Amino acid sequence: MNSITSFFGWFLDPKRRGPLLIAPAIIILLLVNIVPLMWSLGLSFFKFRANQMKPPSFSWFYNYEKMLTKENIWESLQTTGIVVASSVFIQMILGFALAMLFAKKFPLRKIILMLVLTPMMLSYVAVGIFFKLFYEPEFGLLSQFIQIFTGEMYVLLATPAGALLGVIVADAWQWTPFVMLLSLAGLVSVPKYLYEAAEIDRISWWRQFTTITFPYVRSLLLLAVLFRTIETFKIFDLVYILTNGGPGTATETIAVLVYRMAFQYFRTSNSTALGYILIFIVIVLTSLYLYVIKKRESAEI
Amino acid sequence: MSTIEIQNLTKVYGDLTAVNQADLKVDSDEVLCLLGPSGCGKTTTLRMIAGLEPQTSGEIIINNNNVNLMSTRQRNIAMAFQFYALYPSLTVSENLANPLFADNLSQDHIDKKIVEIAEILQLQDILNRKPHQLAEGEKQRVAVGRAIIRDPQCFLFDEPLSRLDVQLREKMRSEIKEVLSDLKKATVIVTHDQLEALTMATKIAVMKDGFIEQISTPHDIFAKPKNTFVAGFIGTPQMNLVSANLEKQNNENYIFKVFDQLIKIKIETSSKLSDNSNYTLGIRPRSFEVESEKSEHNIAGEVDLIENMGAERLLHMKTTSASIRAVISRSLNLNIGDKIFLLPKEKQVHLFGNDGKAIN
Amino acid sequence: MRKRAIGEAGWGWTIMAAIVGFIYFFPVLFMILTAFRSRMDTLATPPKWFFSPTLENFYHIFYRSTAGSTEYFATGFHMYFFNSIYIAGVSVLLALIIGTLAAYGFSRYPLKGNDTYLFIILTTRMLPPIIVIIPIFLIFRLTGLAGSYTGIILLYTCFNLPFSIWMMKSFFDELNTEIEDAARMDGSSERSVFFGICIPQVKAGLAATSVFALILTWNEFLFALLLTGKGTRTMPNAMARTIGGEINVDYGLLAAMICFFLVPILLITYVLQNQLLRGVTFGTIKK
Repeated sequence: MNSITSFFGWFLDPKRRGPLLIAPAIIILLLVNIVPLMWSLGLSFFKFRANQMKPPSFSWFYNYEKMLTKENIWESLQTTGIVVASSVFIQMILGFALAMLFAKKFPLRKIILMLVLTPMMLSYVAVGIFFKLFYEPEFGLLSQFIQIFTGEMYVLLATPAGALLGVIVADAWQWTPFVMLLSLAGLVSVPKYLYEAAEIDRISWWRQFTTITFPYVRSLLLLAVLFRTIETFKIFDLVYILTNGGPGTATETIAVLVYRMAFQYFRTSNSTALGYILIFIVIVLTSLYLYVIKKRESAEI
Repeated sequence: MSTIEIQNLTKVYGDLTAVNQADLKVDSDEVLCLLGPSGCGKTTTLRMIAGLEPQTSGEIIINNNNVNLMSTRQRNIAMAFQFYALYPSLTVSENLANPLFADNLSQDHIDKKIVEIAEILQLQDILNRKPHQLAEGEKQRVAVGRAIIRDPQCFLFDEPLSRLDVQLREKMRSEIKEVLSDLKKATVIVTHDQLEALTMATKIAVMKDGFIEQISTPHDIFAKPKNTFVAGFIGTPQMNLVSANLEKQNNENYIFKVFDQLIKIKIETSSKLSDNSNYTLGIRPRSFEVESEKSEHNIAGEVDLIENMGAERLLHMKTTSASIRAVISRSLNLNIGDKIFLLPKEKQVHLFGNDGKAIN
Repeated sequence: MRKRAIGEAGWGWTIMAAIVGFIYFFPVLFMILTAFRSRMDTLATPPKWFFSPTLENFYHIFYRSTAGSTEYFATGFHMYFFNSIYIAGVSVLLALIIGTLAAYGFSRYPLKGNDTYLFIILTTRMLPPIIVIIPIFLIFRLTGLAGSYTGIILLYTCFNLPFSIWMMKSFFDELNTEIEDAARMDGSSERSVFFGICIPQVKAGLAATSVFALILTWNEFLFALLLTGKGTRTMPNAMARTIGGEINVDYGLLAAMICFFLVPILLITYVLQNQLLRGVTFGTIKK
């Protein structure tokens, strides 16, 4: 009897509670991620092409070196950077603005909110295909709309800038609801009586925003930026469907490049290395970001 | 001149009438306490005066201006909230300064006022702390400070002391009272604690289920309750309310049948009482004297329970149907089971009719 | 000035919100209309706004004929639909439960390497699917998980965990622990503190996390493509099959599928909206 209770006691010990709570999550994540990680990381140190019968040969950093010195990598990075920065920026501004719109209770709020949330519920494939339809010079809506003014068909995706814009708009449109939802959850968690006190104190709207609203919303906004940035770096499906990386390589984001390398050119190990370079960049950016946030938080307390 | 007046104020939430045709008047340098049990509508009334709740019907007049259509901001009133509602991201001094920005004062002026208020409420040491670093009493003082730092039309306090412990409460009570008398503006305080109301208010309005039962000075609320609810609500220990049937009357002497006993009480009243009707007698526990012999003026019973209240004791006397409580001094030696007799002191018996209303 | 309680607005606001909402919703509207259009109408120039609606696209979801023949065959669509619901539902639920518990652990019982653990958890999201798809595929094959429900559900749970954890931790961090401490002193068990006090306050976080995780999982394509088998295939897969080559995309059919596929998510989101929009009314004061 004693040994059984002491066995359970071991589990229920307050000191162990923390680890026990997080253990299941960590275990699953490790299980599912670690082997693929090891495998592909390992592969990046070998020379291997999937369409040749040669066995992989160990080559240290050959892949990485090759990747880092080819110019279109940097071009790719730049493209990816532009897409991520622009799209996330638009999402944050629009998302927060929309959230403020929905933060008040008004009739029909729920229904209208659903309207705005729908874009996020579509798959990348759906968004890609239909935006492609919009952008179609012959019977796409955009072109037809512009034709009213210029009388000529408009091909958005023909120019590098246009293609980028097309991708950015599609992505931002799809994911702004995400930022909106997070912001809304934050806005709505502000206790009502703080606003009442602010009314009594006759505080200006802007002051209310900076001193009451923003501190509550801040952590969620941070979360939004973080996740959207990470996700957008990986963007593939949308770009692939819309422009296939084109025209030329104008919209070839890193993920598209990786795909091409791996499945079009079968430079398997190269692509793995490239993938890890991408991950590395994201890790660096994210850590920098988190570090800055931490510093700010501790400075305030 | 600072006055508050509400006329016929009503608030209806669906089926529930939270406030039912309330009428009040508060002059400057008057402190009105809205007193009552939870759910009686006092906070709702306060919030309507503040403009935080739109009223269903009725007029709200502040300083002789009808403010019905004015927003909270325009009404220019100060309010201290029950949950303090301090701005969590600002320091104490920033919290205090916030209300003053709308008045377009110079920074110097604002700083001076902060120092002034800090002195009155003893906040000097905590000016740079944030709300989550403060103790309850400190938070309370900051909330009050934020209200009094301004020069508003009037003051509203929502349960200002409800979250403090007893000692702190006593201290704050006197502090706030002092501050309020200096400010000389119409003030409304909401509380469910009668001691608070009795000590801080110049007028008390007792509310129940949305209705204002009585508005009087603290003295009159205690000495001349208008109905059984007010009588039972005010005063600790609670007043004894016993039902009585009038047997006979002769001039000022009335003989009531109470608990199968007949007692003769002298009552001065201008109303006519009818024989054989039911009335309610209200006698406060402190209005009894203990006697050792039965007379036609006292009630007989047996000691059931003696509660120790510190300086005094509360005696529960059992009769055939109910208990009567009386406050007795510590020196009186009684045991459970003793037969005693309680004599109501002269002129300290309240009479209420069948409808609960007082009979003068 | 009209008097209104703070935080509420009237029809004027509604109109403004409706206009904004409609503009934002427009592309989706177009898609929905396409679902009801015949092929000809979709590609018409100038765009035909008024057309006679047809249900043939929806019919085609379930019964189709191959090009050239007139025979219709059932597409077994309901299976895809069911699979999507089942897989997404279970994995989101799992991610929610495990993730919330972990978030609570990280928030209330911080360990020394807390930030590191959290960061590592975050990095699992940074892996581009392309890279890990092959090794995962191989492993699944090896362990026999390929084509099973367990495998894909496990994978999806893993995808949803990082967001779930980070989001819920953020909410738990914001709670005022005084109430919990008071309850503990009153003798409540840890379990009742957690379920009775903490969880109700973070409902908005739970709702948001569920919505996002559901959407992500519901629409996930790449891994579903490779890791589901005959009995477990999901909707995105089915949709992809209709695209085939890029020429002659049957927009109508695709639109119909998308609309159909949207419905469950719309329903759940609508239901969860209540939790999402319900703010914390009193008591929890931010630290």
